[in-house]
Amino acid sequence: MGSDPHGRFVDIYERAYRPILGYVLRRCEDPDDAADVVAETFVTAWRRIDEIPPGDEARLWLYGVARRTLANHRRGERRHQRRTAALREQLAASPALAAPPPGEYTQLGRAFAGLSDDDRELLSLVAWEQLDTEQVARTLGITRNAVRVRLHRARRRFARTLAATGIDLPLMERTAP
Amino acid sequence: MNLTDLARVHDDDLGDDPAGQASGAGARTLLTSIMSEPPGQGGRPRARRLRGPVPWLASAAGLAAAATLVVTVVVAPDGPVPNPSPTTASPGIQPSARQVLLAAASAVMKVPTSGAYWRTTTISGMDAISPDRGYVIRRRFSREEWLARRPGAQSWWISQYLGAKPLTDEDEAAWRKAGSPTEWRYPLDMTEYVGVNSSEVVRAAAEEKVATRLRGKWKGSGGTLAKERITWDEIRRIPSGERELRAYLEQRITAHAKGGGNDPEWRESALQGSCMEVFSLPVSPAVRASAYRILATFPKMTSLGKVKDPLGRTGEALGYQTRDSIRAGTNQIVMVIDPETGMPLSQSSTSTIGLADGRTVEVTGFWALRRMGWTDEKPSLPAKRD
Repeated sequence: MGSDPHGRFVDIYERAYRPILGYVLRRCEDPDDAADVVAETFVTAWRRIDEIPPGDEARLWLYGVARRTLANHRRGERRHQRRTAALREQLAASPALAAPPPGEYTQLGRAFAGLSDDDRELLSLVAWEQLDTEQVARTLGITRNAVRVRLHRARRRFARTLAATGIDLPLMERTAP
Repeated sequence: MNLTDLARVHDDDLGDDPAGQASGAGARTLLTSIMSEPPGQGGRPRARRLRGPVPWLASAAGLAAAATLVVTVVVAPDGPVPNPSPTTASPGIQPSARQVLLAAASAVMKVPTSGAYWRTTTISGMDAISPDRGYVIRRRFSREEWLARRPGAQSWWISQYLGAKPLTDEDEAAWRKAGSPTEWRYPLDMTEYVGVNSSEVVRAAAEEKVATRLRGKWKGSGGTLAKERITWDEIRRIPSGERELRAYLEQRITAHAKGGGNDPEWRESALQGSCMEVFSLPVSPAVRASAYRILATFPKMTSLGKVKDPLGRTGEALGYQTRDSIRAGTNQIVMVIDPETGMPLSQSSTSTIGLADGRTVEVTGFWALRRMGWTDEKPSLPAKRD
């Protein structure tokens, strides 16, 4: 590919920008960190433009990059401060991000937070990114069958954790999940 | 509430947000900046290092384990569990919540200060209304948490589902009338329910014990504080003075809530939660006492007198109400303390919900501590692994 990497990258960026921003914001509490992770994700994509698959798979590929970038990101690290000044300003003013993360102290939220990173990511890809089995498999680079098995286990563990969480003082809310 | 609601922002919300537009200033500046460099430069960048000992900081994205503190649960070979009865307060003059807490602070027991494992044994329970909304069932769970002190040693959870059954005699009668089901299947839409997950299947029968090997960031951790895992060394350095402890907890809460923790009510709740977390950690009696003193400064806490906790043990109860953000009602939060030892016995949260026949019932979620302390014993691991 890539007779015109610039045109192709703009195309990919325009389609994937919002889903990737959303993906990162849902997993990264600090908006400045999120801006940096989004920047790093697309910087990586630009450097590896020839490896990006065509069509909607580009988005799944980018989720994978974003996931690894998040895992390696240190809180407070601002490698792309210069590139993200405008984005950070927008995020700081965003009403959607003004409130504390939902469910922070709900039973459901805490049970979810108590899952292993892998389980949480798997359930998030389905619930938040609305990916189907095939898409999760592509994103994580595993087989569909492995996705099914892991999802099943993750759901079971989640149900158990949710139940076991029981109470948590001040804030445990008897939520209807 | 379901998992989708836990997402802080949905892609659709971003559609109305300037930050979410690929054509917006932020996105454009970023794109231009990236493309000002030649493409494909330098091949695959290596994943950046993340080695150093930043165990809990590194979990920023995965603020996991919140549950853990409170999630210690266990083995309960015991029979029926009495209902929590926070309303059966003793008559006569009651000490104020503040007096109870300060008394607990002065009573906190000295416990052995070392051992191979920090072991916590808890029982938790959760009420749910039946799928036909005819009666209440209570599920119970147990957990032993064995956190290894020695670097590199394996830590474990041993969990067990203890089964589900109708809560009161009235519930049992309604359950019989419904054909004494031993399995309850819940619908996708959980608007009318509490205490269960969408599409969940709840079974009456208990299950065998399951051992969970704690991995990853749990290695070298002695629990959680302000919802981040905390290492043994950090635990040892938790300040014991009341003022210093408060400052320390607030600082941890702030570090955790970066970006959205300015709501004073949220911060107060978070501070209370952290004090409760402190009780579950292997800290000195002085630290525990300070945590009680901090709790004693909260004005909305009231004394509920002597009560029986969900495991039938008598203690001094303190409580307060919180708003239920999902439904319009309130939750009554009750904390029961053993005045003799100054140790927390249980916490519960009770709310009311209407059944199909118009009856209004109380549903409770609770967590009760059976045992906590250092031990040189070894966990007796069941065959089944998670």
